[in-house]
Amino acid sequence: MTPTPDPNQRDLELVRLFQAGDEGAFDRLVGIHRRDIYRLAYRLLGNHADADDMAQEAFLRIYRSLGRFRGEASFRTWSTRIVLNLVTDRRREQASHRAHSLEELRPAEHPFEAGKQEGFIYEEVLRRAVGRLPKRQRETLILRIFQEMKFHEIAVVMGCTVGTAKANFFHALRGLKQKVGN
Amino acid sequence: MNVRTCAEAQRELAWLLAEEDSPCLPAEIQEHLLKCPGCAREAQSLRALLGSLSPAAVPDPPEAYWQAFLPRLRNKLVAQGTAGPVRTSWIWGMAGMAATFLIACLLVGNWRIPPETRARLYLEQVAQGRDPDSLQQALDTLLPDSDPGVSPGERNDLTLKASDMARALEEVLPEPESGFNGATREPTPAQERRPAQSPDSGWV
Repeated sequence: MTPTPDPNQRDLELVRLFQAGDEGAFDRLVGIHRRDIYRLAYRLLGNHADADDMAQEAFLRIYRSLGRFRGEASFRTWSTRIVLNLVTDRRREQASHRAHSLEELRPAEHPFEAGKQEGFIYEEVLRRAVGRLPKRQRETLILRIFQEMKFHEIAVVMGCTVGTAKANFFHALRGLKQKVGN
Repeated sequence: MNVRTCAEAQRELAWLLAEEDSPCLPAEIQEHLLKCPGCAREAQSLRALLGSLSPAAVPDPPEAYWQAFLPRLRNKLVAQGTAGPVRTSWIWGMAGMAATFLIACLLVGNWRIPPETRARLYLEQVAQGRDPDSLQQALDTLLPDSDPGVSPGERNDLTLKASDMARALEEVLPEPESGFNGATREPTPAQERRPAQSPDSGWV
């Protein structure tokens, strides 16, 4: 039985191949991480159209920056940081135009959820409640729960200590509980 | 009930319940939950909340979407003119190859200046009056014995060319009115072919 390769080592190897000129290595990185990045973008932006646009934009940014990636952090945390930065920029742009956030989500904006409306209401309430959390708490919660990152990885992505990441998570859960009346 | 302990316990509960590496709560927290109904309720509601926040809640696009994902990305990269990753290694590679080629040329000797060219350069220096000793260097270059790097075959060529160089030297160097000690020189065939110049023609 062959041992499962370490995902971080696998990613770093693909990055090295890309830096050496292997374009196919980038395609493989996209294949491995596209769902994670799409889901993160979806959680942060709340609809497929924006999540798709953000995922594509994130990979374009990754492509342009990958030549300078030194592997000090894992590819996953590095790419997550890129998505968070892009989402922050987009929210800032949108704030000047219109308030487009998770609070505005309507079930009709989920094209792949057609026919899955049962049991959707509570999830929708939760989704909106997550969207109303302060930025750092929301990001920490999403990274921990939905991206299944460890706290030490979240600390790297958020540029804070593990203790701060845990505190943000605690406050996010408490805020969420208050908002959904749990 | 110690309020501070409850606050600490609830804070730790939040991330302990979310930490998949530690599904079992530490003994001191479990002990506290047994003694404190408020914290026990808090733990129960947190578990329910975390359970409802399922990672699978994001709707997964159909396979056709994922199949088109990379081609769309590639199209955007082409449209943005990002033909390849930002790399400078190829530039250094080309520079290295060029340097290697130059060094190889120097080592092989193909880059050596031909003796005729060297001699011509020396003669030009003599003609311009910059370095009178260059005449000797020109002769050393052209004479076979003075250039140990010249092969026997090349020596014959150089000897034959030496007469041509001597004629060229006479053309380049200003012609003395008389030889040393007032001895006049016989005109060379080249000089004989030249049209006669009046003393004042060209010398105003």
